[in-house]
Amino acid sequence: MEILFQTWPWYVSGFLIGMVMLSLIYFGKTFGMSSNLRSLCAMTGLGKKVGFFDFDWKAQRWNLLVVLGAMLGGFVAVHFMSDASNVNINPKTITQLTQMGIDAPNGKLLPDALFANDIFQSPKMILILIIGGILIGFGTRYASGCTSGHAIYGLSSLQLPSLKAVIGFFIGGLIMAHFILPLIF
Amino acid sequence: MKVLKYIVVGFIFGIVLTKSEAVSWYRIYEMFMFQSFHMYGIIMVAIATGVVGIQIIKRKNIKDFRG
Repeated sequence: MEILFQTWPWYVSGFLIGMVMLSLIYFGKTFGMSSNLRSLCAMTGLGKKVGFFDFDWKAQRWNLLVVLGAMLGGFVAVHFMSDASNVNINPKTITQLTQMGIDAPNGKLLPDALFANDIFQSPKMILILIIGGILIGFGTRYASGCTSGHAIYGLSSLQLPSLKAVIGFFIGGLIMAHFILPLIF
Repeated sequence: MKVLKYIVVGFIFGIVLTKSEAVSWYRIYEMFMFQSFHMYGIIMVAIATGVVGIQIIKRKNIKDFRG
């Protein structure tokens, strides 16, 4: 039991993520989380005004259920399967983050500097999160997929467009982590 | 049952993503700093499992559950 509470090794986690994708293929579906953003927009009735949202979102309801399940799973894992030893990242990374004023994990998944409740007192932080949300929403639809759809499902089914998208994600992430984040903090 | 299987798959997915810490801001930052193999390992094993699995499904021509 003890082992369930510690950080799961990459070879176990990677295999399970692959199996989750394969089980959805077995159910006759595809694997990808961000297409739900389009479904959620279409649910509001936007389809009457914007052609992009005018599609049969009810056929995509299964995917919303996957997300619902993932949220429940995340809740259970955080509240009942966590341990202070979690997120044991490289000490060099922690030093680098401390220099930028970002707190060490100590078992948390997300830094307080970016996601704690008191960020609502900082217009700068609110703006950063809103811009981030807009970029994720726009970018995943513009690229027709996010990390789950392109990197895991797309690369597994040997799709060239997915390889291009993943290279793009990676370059974007590198620029953000190395150059833009130090400018913001 | 039709509804439940998607929720169950999602539930497992949520637990794996959380317990592997793939959802952690710290893990993602650490990956982009090239200071850990953890995230690269997860992604590579997931893709390898997927490639092998999809090939097996194709070769054996396994039909999805509706045939």
